[in-house]
Amino acid sequence: MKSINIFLLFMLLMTSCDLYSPLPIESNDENPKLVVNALLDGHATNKLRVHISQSQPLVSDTNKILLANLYLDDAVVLFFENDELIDTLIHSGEGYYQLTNEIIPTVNYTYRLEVFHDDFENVKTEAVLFPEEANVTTSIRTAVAHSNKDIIRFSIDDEAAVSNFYEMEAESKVDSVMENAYISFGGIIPDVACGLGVLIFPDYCFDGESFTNEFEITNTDVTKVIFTLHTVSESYYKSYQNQQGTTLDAFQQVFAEPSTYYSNVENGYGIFYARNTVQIEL
Amino acid sequence: MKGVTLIVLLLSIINASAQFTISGIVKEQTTKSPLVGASISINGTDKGVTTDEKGVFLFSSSYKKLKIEISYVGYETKRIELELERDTFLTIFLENEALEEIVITDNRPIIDKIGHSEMTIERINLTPTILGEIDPLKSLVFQSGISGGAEGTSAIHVRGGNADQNLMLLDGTRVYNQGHLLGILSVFNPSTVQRVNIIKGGFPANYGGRLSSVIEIQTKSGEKEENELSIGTISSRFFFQKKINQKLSIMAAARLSNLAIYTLPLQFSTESRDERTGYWMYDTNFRLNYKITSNDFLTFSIYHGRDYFFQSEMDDSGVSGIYYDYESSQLSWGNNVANLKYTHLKGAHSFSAQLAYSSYGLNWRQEELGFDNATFSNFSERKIRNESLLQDVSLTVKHEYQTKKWQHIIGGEGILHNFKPSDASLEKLGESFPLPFETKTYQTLETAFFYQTTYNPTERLRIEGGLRFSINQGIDKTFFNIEPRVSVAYKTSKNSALKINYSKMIQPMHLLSTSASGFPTDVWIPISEQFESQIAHQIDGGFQIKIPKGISERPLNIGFEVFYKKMNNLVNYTNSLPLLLSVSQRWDLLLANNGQGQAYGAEFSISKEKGKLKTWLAYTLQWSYRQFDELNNGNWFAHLYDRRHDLSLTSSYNLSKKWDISTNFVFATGLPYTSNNTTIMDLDGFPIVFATEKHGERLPNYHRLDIVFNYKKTGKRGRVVQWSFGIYNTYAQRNIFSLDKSIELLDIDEEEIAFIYDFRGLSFLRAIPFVTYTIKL
Repeated sequence: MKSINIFLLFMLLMTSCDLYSPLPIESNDENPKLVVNALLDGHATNKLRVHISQSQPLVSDTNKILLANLYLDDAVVLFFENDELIDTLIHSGEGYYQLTNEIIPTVNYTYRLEVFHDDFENVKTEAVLFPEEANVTTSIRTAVAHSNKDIIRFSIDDEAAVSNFYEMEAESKVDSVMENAYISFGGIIPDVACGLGVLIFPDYCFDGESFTNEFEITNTDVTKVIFTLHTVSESYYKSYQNQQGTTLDAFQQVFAEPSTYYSNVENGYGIFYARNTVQIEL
Repeated sequence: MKGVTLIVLLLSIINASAQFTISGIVKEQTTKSPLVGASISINGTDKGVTTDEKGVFLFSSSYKKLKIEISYVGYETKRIELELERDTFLTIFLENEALEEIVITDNRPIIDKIGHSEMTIERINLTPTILGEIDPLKSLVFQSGISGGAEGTSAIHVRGGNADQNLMLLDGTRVYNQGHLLGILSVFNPSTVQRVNIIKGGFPANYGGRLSSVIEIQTKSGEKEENELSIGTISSRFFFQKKINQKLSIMAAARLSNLAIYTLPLQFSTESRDERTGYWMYDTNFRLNYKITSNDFLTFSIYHGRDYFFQSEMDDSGVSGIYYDYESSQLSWGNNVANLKYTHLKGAHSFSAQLAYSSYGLNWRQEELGFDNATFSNFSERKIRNESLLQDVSLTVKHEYQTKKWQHIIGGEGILHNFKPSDASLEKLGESFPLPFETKTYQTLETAFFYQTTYNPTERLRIEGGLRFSINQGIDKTFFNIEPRVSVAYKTSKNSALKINYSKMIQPMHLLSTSASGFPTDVWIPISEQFESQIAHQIDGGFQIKIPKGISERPLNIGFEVFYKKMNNLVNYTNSLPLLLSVSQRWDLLLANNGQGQAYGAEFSISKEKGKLKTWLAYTLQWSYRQFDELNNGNWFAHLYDRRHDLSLTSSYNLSKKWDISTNFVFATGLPYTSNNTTIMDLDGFPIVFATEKHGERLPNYHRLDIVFNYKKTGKRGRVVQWSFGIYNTYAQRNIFSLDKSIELLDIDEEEIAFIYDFRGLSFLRAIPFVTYTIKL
């Protein structure tokens, strides 16, 4: 009985820890900046997606983002290929801008966006359509014993002495409808540095070698799986890493070092990146 | 090397004329056990020595007539007049004062108090920390220039340095992880501790390998007969020391976390079979002293400590003994330390050699079992294992020699490190899954030769100089460094002194820390061409003044110091935080290197150590910043544990022969933190919130008051029983322990996105009462 009392007392003491105090968000005195998010996709029909908006200070209470105020439809967006202006983009709605000419991006060319707006400082950002398509040597879909899951295991031959960054995606066909498949990693150690258990990974650990990775999807009623492997710009990988950091900091660590934002937009925010794609039907 | 040896010999010859060596041993009158750290002052001057771990002292003098004064905390001071005709050996017995009050007096010469602090166990006992636990390490934060880490943890930061920059020595051997129970307790059992010495500036050349401080934990010599049993809220401990015969004495201690007892019902009750959690912690100390001859001593000591946490969850399949989706995790970590030390004393010479072993390891395992409906049995779905290990073997050799005006220390040390930052493996369905990296063990060698000299040209002036030549072999590069140390002290009067120091320090290893130190996610890594040795240059100085009895009612000690420290080659995680324990051998890809740091500030302390009311006040004003090209857009930012103001006030008052009360008040500027302050939309139109500046905000200020009542009674058989009752954080201040944030999406449509961003601080340990029972058998 005594020990139970002591235990109850102890638990009472420990549970008294669970007290939260709201911390006010200090006002951000910084003037709003232009936000440029853009993707140059060597594989897609729409080769260039550009979205222009402005930043907004965060407040402690309810944050309301009026999209009409945030999206900028009157920016001047210039698109350069190796320092040569090749297009002036036009607004297509809700802050998105599109090319007026059809372009075919060239590997190893540098592409630059310059954005001008009367109310903001001019910004520019660039990306190299650097990565070739990934060289996928094997891709296998097998059922996991004792479960309703399939393993998608694939191997890639990585190009030596070149920094590559990969991103995985999967879609599954259920009842004739294609939908994004939920990817899980079946207990693979999440490793930001070497790519296990994460959707986007660099070739740091297997530069120039063959690399095998795998993930799991639920196979209930799935008739077809489309596995997509992108090769992406380093800026996109860094942005992903950064967001991983910001999601992790508050949950597991006491006074962990949180992340600040990564951007490759000069004088503004956002990410401009390029990618190439391989799709495999399994 | 030859040159240095020649200089030592030359100096010895010059100073050898008409020299007498006075050596001896200081013992307690009743038990005849040696007194460690007793002060011997000469001719009423500030020149003096202290007894070593055998109670032995020695010094040289050219005077034929000499007065010496021998003092020790809690013992009557003895004065002896000597007429010297030859080298003399003295055996001095000090009588224990019949104490009605605890006497806590820092008897060191006033010059030695600048840049150096000392905590005796009596002083440590006045500063209970969380839940009444006495903790030698956490008590240090009551000293000026030393700040604590996060609330409740045992990490300490000295003069704006990082937690890994403290050279933590347990009887001369390095200890790499100082935290038990996720840092709530330090690994040092308070029953075993004799005293703690802290060097914050003016580092002698025989110390190296860390940038910010040297913290020496000296355990009890084992020569005084003592048995102690203590039962506290968090841990219980047993300690004994005994002199077996004239040559042999031993000390042994063990400590066990009471959490294990509290969680027993959770571990074994049938109701909670599906979810079990347990946490065990224990540590043991053993020390043996053997007197080979009157001049030769051998000491052997061992420390072993371990934390063990496990958790399992299972969903019952409905069939007895068969579980579906069973998941278990085990995490354990701890230190092993052993050392063998030989000491030889002859005249004015002292020689010692120490062979030591130290290791720190952490181990994580996770297993998931599935249930096969076809075979009606469990199967191993996956097993994950990850280990990190650091092992050291070291040899230190030191020779000390003293003349009238000179003291010389010369020696060397070699430390062979084995680093295994990560050793991971994965099994799926009983088969090993290939990982994209191989486990590597990195072997590095840390070698140093040192020479330290102290010169007293006059009674008032003391000049210290030292040189440490270190050769640090990293993974792929060897680094050669010369570390000069200079210190000049001037005694302005009998009771006051000034001192100024310069030190260059090298640290040939880094600690990767994702959180407060002491947590088991911390991993030590070796130096390499990419991650070079950390370097610090520190200038510090100050004055000490003792206001004698007469001017004030009781003597007061007042100290003021300033410091400036510049650090290079610091390492920090980049923005990509690794998940818990997923640090791979490619840790090198996760780090920002070549960081810079600077810290500067002023320290003030005042203490009244005698009388019924004893008080210690320590205040530090400090700035500490870091800069990495990869972090915060390359701009300088406040160090994670930068505290502008840090004040502590400790008091003790004797209410009666049996009762005393002590209080601790602590105030510190809130820690810096990174707060999200901006929102933008991503390419798909979803909001992202982020911070524009690292550590741009400050938490609310930290403050708390602890009150402890002690009741002490001596029984008929001489057994001393002590009860301690107290309250930690008496007025229940909500000091923030960790941060939590969440985003709640309220509304999203074509026109508007509305969300609440909630950023909160978790308060920990508010107004916690505690009781501790101690019996000395």
